[in-house]
Amino acid sequence: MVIWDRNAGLRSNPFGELERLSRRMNRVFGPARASGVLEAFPPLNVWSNNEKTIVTAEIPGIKKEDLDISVENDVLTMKGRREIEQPGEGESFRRHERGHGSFRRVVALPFAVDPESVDAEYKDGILRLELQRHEASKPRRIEIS
Amino acid sequence: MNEEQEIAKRDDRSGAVQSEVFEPDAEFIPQVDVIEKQDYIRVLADMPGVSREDVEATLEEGVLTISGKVSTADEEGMSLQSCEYETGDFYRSFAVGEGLDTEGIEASMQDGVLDLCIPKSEQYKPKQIEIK
Repeated sequence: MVIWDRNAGLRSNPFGELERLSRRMNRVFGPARASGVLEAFPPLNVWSNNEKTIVTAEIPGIKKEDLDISVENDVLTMKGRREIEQPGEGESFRRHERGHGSFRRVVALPFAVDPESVDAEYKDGILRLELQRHEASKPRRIEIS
Repeated sequence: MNEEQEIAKRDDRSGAVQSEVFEPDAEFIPQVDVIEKQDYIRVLADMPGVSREDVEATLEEGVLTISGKVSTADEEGMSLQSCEYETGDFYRSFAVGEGLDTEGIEASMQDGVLDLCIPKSEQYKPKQIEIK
């Protein structure tokens, strides 16, 4: 289970660049996680502008029905379970690198979103959520009379 | 060497994942599971973002190569707030030994997972020995 600190998470993470580099190295040089640092699963990319935010997650090989997504104000929660093929009796793994099991991730979004207008798509192992900014959280120009 | 020992030795060679090479220009190495079954080898590789059309697998002279193209998707008019994964092509190559049947490979790609079933050659399959 991974819960992001709202302040250290999306907005300003002084180690963000370092973590990105480390993730890249891991992916290029193989899955040996020698650093002992636990990586949050699933890895996310978050995009935003004044109107909406887009969250994408790499979750290959999961069934749609095993994915549970909810949103409340500016908090997005993703829960799920990934099952993988296990060797049967008398069979064995020659390589075993793919992770499996349950995950839960809570993420602070840049602003409150409208829970009624969320688009979710799962394609080629990538989950993509498009969340519209809640009207009430949009900045308003104040007229001086 | 009697027949039984000979077969055991052959079976040992078949499907053994011995070594692998990395393409220096490749962006990412997919994580894989390799399961040895009675009659075939099953290879499962996580390649998120790769569609059925953009994946390739070849088995040649005992070397299995898998690769996948990922189209980098920048969200238009949006700024990236947080980046935990990078996107790029996948590539990995394994030496799998010579005991596999290149003709009978079955491959499928679903939800970013490549699934290969590679049958063992007839001569390398474990055989029941009849005792007279």
